[in-house]
Amino acid sequence: MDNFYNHNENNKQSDLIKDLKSLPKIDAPENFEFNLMTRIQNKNFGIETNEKTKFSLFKFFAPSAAVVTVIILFFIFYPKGDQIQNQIAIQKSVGDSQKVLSSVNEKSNEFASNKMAVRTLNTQGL
Amino acid sequence: MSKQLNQLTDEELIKEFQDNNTLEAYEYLVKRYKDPLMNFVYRFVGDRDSCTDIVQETMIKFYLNKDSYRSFAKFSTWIYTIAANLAKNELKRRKRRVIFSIDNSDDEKSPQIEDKMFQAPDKATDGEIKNEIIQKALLKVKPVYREVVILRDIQDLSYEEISDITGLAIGTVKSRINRGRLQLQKLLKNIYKE
Repeated sequence: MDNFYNHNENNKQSDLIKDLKSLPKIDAPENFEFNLMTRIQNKNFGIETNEKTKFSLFKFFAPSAAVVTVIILFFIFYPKGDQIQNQIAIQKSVGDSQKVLSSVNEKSNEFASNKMAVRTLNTQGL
Repeated sequence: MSKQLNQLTDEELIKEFQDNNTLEAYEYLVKRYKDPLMNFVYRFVGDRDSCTDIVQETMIKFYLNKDSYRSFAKFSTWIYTIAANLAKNELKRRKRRVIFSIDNSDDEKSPQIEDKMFQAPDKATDGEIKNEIIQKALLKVKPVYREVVILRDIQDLSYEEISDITGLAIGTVKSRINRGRLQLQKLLKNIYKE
């Protein structure tokens, strides 16, 4: 029984294979070689290779250019760390000089008041 | 000189082309392989215009990359590999086009001629119509099976050659050929029923 079914299957396959082998052969068009050699002589090797080159250059530089631009803009528009420190130092020094000025003013006021006191003593003959 | 070139084997011709850039040697190889490759690619992609473009591209790639051929392999294996890869790329491109096309009709899924033939079994014996039905059925077989069935049953290549072309083990080649044939039989059951 198994042999019968296997034989049947093999027959069907062999019919199929026979039909596949007897499918008509498809030939290249008559001007195939002419067109091919014309392309080769004109170095017309298709858009694929040209596009490939352009495509890879663009792909490579565009994201790098974008990143570099962002970094440059960052440094232009946002203060640097040491600039902030400088500002703080400037403020500090301004504060210090203000303190110095105020102490100088105090001292000069003191001096002026002492001078007045001395003058007063002199006029009093003391 | 032309006569001598004509008598050389494929491997000798490509060696001549590689070593001396002899265009005539290239032309002889094109003449030998253009028809078998057209037949293979046509049976694989099913469209005559694309098939011509693909075989042209194959010959261009052969011309541009002649030095990548190594003499330990058969030339036929090498050129069939190039053609098969280009044909598969074409199928992938078509698949993407179908996904993105607005008019996504299902015409390809149900071949109208085949349906008519199933209604009129007497016409199925007509040679041309039968061949058309077989070709349509072949295009419905999965590409991985279709490729090996065509190479084996239509192009008459050996299992070893098919293994080299596809990069598959011989066992896998045989298994896929068998599955491809079974799929075809299922699709053509009305023709092959007892």
